[in-house]
Amino acid sequence: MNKKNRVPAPDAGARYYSDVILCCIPVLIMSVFFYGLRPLFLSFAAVVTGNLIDRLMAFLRDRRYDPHEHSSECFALVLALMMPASVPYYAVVVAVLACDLLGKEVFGGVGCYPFHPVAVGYAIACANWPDLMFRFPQPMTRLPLYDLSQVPLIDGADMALRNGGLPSVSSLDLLLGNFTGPMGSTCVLVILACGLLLALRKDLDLVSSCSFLAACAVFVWLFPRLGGVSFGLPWQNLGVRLTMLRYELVANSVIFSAVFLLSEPVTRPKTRQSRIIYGVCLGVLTMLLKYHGSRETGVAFALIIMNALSSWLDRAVMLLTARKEARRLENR
Amino acid sequence: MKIDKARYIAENFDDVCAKDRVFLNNPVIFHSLGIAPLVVMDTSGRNALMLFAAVLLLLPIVRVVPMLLMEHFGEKARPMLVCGVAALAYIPVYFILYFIFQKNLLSLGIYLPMLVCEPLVIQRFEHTLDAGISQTVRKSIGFTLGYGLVLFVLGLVREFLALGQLFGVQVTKLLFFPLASTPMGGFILLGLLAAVWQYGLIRYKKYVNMEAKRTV
Repeated sequence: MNKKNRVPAPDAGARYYSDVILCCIPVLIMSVFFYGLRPLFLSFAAVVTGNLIDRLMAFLRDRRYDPHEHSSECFALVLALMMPASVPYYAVVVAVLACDLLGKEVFGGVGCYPFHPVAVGYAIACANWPDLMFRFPQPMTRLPLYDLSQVPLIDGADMALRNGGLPSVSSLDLLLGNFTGPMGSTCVLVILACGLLLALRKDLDLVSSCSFLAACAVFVWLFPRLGGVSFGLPWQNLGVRLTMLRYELVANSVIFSAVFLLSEPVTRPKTRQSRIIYGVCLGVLTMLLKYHGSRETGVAFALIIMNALSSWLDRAVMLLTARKEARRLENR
Repeated sequence: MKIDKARYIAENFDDVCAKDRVFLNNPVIFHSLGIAPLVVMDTSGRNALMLFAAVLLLLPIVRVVPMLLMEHFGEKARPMLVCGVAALAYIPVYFILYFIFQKNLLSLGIYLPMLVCEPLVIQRFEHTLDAGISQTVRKSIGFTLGYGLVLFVLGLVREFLALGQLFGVQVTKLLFFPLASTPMGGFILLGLLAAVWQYGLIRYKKYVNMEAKRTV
């Protein structure tokens, strides 16, 4: 196997989860800046739940609890950051239970799950509480820790796009995350910085992430959704297309998913070619689900679908490579 | 646990399991019987009660009557007898249930008549019938109680998680798992219940073995 197709070392996975947790901290700080201490408490509840599930499952399976393996805490934290800051504590706990129990432990624990546990947990949370998951508080609002009955909740920026309109958010606010959305996935600048750090530590799979973002961008460029209007050929109405590109990629948790979800070492494909195909298919599927799905859960469902094909992609690519190699040797 | 009982159970664990149809050999958890109505319609305590009543009335008839008729029609007629009796017995059972539960019964929809072709009720057509009426009645009561236990546990858990209610009484306003009222949620919760049940069985087996090895 050549260098590009090399499968990561077994301990690389363990380091990946620690690094992702580390990179979630700046994102969490930004959400505390926007919404007060509530995101911190929500994330704490999520991480504690994840850790307790890990310990419980180790006890139930008569295994030793590994204190250096942080996948459950990592998934819990990422999942919490994908939820609105106004979500109740019990919703976070149940989502983390679904993520760790149904997404991970049911399949045999760390290293065995076919679907990204965060995507499973998020999909279940969205199906459970659509009203809680898709209505958000205004940023720069100090949210109370418990009773949120007095806090006005509004639709996210994505709802405006779904309705054929445009959210009125300045470019700077879009970059800083000062618009309505999930508590951790709006601050694009910080997420990109975290992505850079993950890439430098070789935790971010640039191949699948970049192909995913490129596929999303090309899809939005070719088929912008603004008032159901057709914008003609790809080189026409460049300004409108750029505006749509900005909103669709930034206001839709697309960049957050590219940095924190796609590179998960267990569920992503292993070879370079299959990761490119994986990223492209995931991008197209995500945008299709965003355009035509009933709710803003595009990435989660697309990820679950593509995870199901991930091993098959590896096998198909390896088979094709082997055939090509055999043909080359025959021709010699 | 008394040491003699523990030794007996430890030595004959498989036989003890085979006879116990409520906990150690539950028809739902260990044989996957009656899953369809359980997953789809068992969304509340009231639905669980109606399904339990239907099985309670239907199962002994479908077990006992074919056994009596077999003497006249022979072994070859067994599948016809079991299925025919199930279909015929459903008619009076339906009227009894309607008399008790009135229009609430309609909420079970197609899953009530589907009990007639549910393996839980008619699985005996695949096997030779039991030796005597007392054994048949005992087995059918065991099956019904085992199924009823899972029905009530799952129904009440689903009602609580999805609606915050127990038998229609509001217990909490928090909706912990609204998905529990859907078949998808039913499958998830049944799977979790089966996992917990199996774990309980393993612990019980370990406990019995430990008790059997105890010398004092």
